Amino acid sequence: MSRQDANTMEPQSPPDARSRAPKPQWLQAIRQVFKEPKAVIGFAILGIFVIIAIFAPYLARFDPMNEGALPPLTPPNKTYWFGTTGYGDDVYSQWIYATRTSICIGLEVAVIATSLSVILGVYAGFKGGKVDAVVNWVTQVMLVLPGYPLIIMISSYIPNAGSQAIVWILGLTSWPAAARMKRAQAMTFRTRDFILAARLGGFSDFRTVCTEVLPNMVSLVFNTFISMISWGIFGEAFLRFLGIGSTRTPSWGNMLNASQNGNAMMEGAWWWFIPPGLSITMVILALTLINYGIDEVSNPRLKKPPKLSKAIRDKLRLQAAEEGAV
Amino acid sequence: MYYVKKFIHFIVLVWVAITLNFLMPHLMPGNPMEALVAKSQGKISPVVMHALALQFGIDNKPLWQKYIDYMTQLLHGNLGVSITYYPVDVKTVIGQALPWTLILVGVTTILAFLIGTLIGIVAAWRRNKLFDSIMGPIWMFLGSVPQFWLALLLLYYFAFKLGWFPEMHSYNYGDSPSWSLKFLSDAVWHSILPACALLFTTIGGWMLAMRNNMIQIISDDFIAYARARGLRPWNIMMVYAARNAILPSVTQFAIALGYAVGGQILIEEIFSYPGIGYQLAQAVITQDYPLMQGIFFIIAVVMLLANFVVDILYTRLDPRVRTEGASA
Amino acid sequence: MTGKPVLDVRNLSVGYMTPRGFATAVDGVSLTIHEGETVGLVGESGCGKSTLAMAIMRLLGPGAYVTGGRIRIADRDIYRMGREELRQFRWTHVSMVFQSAMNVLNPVRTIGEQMVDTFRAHDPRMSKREAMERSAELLRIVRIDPARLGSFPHELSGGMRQRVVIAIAIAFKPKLVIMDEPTTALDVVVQRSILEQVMELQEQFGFSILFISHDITLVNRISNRVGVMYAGRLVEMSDSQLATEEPPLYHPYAMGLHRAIPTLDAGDDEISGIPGSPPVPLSMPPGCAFHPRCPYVRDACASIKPDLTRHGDYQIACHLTTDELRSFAHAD
Repeated sequence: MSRQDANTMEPQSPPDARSRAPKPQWLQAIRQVFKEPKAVIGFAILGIFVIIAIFAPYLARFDPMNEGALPPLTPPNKTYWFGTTGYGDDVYSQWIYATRTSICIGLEVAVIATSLSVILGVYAGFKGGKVDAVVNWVTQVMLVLPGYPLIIMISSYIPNAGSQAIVWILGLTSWPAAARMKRAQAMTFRTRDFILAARLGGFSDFRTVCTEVLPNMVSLVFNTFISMISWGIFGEAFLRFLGIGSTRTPSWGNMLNASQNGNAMMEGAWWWFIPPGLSITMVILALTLINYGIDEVSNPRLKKPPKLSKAIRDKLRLQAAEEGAV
Repeated sequence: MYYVKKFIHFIVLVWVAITLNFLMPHLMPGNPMEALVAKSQGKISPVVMHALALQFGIDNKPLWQKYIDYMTQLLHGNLGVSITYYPVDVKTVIGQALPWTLILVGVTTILAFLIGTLIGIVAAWRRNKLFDSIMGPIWMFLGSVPQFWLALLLLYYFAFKLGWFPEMHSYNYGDSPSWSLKFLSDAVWHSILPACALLFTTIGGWMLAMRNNMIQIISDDFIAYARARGLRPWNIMMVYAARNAILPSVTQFAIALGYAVGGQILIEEIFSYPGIGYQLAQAVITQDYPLMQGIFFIIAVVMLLANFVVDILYTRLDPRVRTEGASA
Repeated sequence: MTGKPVLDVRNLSVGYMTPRGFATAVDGVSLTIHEGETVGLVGESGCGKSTLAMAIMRLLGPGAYVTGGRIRIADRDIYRMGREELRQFRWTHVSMVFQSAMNVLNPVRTIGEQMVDTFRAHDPRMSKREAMERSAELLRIVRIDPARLGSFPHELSGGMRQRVVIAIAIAFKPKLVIMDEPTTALDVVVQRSILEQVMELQEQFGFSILFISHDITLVNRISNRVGVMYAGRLVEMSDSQLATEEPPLYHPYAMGLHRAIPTLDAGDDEISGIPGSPPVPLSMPPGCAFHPRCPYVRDACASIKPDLTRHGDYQIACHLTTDELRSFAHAD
């Protein structure tokens, strides 16, 4: 114990978190997230859509694309649960398959964008120096370029952009904001003692990042992943609705585009454009709720102040009554 | 010094955007321009063909030569000729569309920011009370609704079904734009549905951002200190908490304003509202590449300008940045 | 020095609701401060001294609850005041110098504006100019150039900021000023000049001070009486007229604190800390909370919580007798 410490009588282990690697308490964190009502509702809604996506072939009642085989523009009834489209397809079956396509696109975009943001953000932030300077500059430039117009420009230059093209366009353009956030956090690790210890211990940068840095950024990475699913699903719908690479493959965006081209509105065929739009809304809502739930668990300042438990309140009331009697 | 540095940064970014705008069609597999030219052969006049050839460098000049030509054209303020609206040039098309977009998207952006931020301030100040627990879920839900789908719903229900609002355009056909009361009220009437679609979906973002910032600021020491000094709650809420919490939102707001110039592509398309977004959508559908490039150029420059202004503005709002900047 | 009591804390208990249960931070503390008196409060971080200060100001954050006792300042129960009454009362009767002068000033407002805010909150009829003049006068009292009114907090040095904060604390000449670690973040030289300033101001304006610190030498230097807190309880409180003839008596914990003070003539080996670390609020040891670390522990210590009892000029919460305490205190 140094003189200074003895003098000021601080406890021997000061609450200086920098000196120790914060332990990622996985199970506890997950348990806490599932106690957060927002996150639970979010996971529940998302779960329903994922199940629909997985079991699509078993849930669909008709071939989603049997053009013209069914009576067009039939309102919902016992046979056609969600009615039929202007092209004579069953909306319900289309919606089931569209769920599969859109969820997959969302996930693919999320995987691409999250990986890029982690690789570029974390590695550059952690490494510093020239690598960081270059990556950071590219990130800054990408950040200030107008997003939607850029995506529209790129995709309109690609003839007949299919799902895969759209996935790559969305994935490759959406990483900068997330990368910047990760860089900022990774930079704070650079000077921490447990990183220094790992480096002195002869760990390579790659290994240090994987074993010491990333485990401490799980919530941020997960946050990015969730937001990017949202963005992928929305972006697909957005581009398809604009008519970019639009095909008859059922996806939520294609359904909306078809309903627009098929004059669903003038025909009063609300059942055509409500299911895909509502689905996008619900999935994005679910993902937002999950992100907020995680935030409230991982950011102590956003946590709700705990209320006094009922047992303690009752005890206090009893005490007060006794004091009053004396 | 700080301003000079920021300005150089701005200029460099504009150059990057322009270069990207130039390179994109050239880097795409199978030059889309050539395809377009091949497709339009005979449909458009040789004059336009020549202009196009010049603009996109169909001739076999080396890339750097084309690049220099392109930059020279830009410096002369020449954005090329629109294919769809031939012989109107791109600049004129943009010039006609811009006011509509600025009014619709600009005004709704400002309104959404003001309303959302105010709700966020009050919700955070009265956290977990009734107001907060009602506003949170409502705006979170509306914020998840895809804008263009809400626009479709509004159009379907209020215009097609109930007939309360006009179905399309920004004023009655046959009228010509003027400053008469009749025309103006007509224009406002036409803009209500698209404005609602924009407002309802964007207020939530401002509100949630402000609420989160406020909650974090409220737990800061200087708020407890302000309370201890017996300052009035209103004063603490606005001048102490909100004034600090709004900083990140202001940045976003200035960028959103810059973005407003780009219009709202899908909303303008759905309501056939003749703004920049509508023109961009049309350009995409008709593959009017010169118009597309011109619009992208304008949007990029304004966005970058907005970012530049934010940097300058920030020094006014946050005195800490000013000294940092001065010493750097 | 026994004037009227300015602060009277009776049996105060405060706790925090945490996800893992209810944690008591302040446990049955009683404390009286008279007019013109300076009472010091010493303890390790986490012993509840800052919570006590915030409770006295009625500024406890969300999740903290007063579970018993009462607090009277200038003969008024501040937990029985209405919102507006409380707002008016704070700063005019009791003010506080916070732990971190770095963070208590609004970063986007000038010093002057913040001082004017304070004046006008309690006197809405005061004009901005008059408030500015009074602010300038306050700065002059703490020897800061009034031109600094136009500065932003980050433009001042740590010492200047702390002086400004002290100046704001005496704006309305309150009866009581609570100082929570007012000099901790500053270097020793600045620390000293600020302490001298505080004592000077006290002489001039005659307010009472509750001086909270983890630094026992500092507290001894400026206080009339010193209390020692451990694990949420007041374990020792001295009387004001420290009988100089009699050698001082200490609670075993306070003995540890005193032994940990390095002196010029002592070799390194004579300085000793207290073994072990203070208990965590959620798992308080039964009986005397200090017993696991106490070198003089008895059977009773592990089961019975000792109350403050009088030992000569001291009130000490310990199961040892006066003689035992005396002999241990001066064993070496």
